[in-house]
Amino acid sequence: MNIKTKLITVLLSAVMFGCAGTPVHFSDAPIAKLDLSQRHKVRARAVGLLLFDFIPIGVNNRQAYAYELLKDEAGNNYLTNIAIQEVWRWVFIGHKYVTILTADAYPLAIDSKQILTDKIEALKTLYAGGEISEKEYEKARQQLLSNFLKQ
Amino acid sequence: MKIQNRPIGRTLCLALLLVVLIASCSSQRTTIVPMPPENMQKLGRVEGKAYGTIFQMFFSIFHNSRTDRAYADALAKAPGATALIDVTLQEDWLWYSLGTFSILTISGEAVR
Repeated sequence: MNIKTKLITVLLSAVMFGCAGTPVHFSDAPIAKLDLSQRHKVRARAVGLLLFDFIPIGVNNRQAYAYELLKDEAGNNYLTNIAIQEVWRWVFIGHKYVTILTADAYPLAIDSKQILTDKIEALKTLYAGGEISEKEYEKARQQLLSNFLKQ
Repeated sequence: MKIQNRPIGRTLCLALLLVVLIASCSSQRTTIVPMPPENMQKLGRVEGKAYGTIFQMFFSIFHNSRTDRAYADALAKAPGATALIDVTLQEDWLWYSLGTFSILTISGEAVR
């Protein structure tokens, strides 16, 4: 490599400089299993600064970070209808970038049939272990069935 | 020429400074992971890209509509597609002395 090629390489590196952002994979929610009547709106934002327009500080991973914050905000709920908004602002020493994510969070639908089955099984165990009498077992079972049919 | 006893050059400079100080922009809110349609039919994986730049610090050229365009570009690659599932988003940028150029890539499984 002669001096001219070296010089061109250095100049090109100085003139053009770039970075790859962190890819963000948005998980799909199991829509069929969700209780769509219980929607919660969640929102998260992450900020990055491109110092002097070429030194990234929290810029390359801000979407990934915003998504992590969004998932934290949703807790055990599942996210869908995820929307993204980008805001930028000139701040003398570079540009500030803000990523805002909003989404709908839904909990898993409660399978009341499965819950009833589990409770009856628990009652059977108690009865088999002699912890409750036959009368108590029958009364509790009738109560569970009656509550289930009222739903 | 004077405005309120001030030279116009001075007023213009102040106005320009104010514009520069508050120079900022916001993109539209784009839904990138919609609720998938019922009985969806998968049409294959697609990828869409959109480019934009902030030129000379303040001038945004196609920068604020990148997400919309990248999503539309991805959908256009699967005729009949109405949404994407299993979405991945990535933003890359390049500094070129006069500004910053950015590339937004959205990929996912196209469905209808």
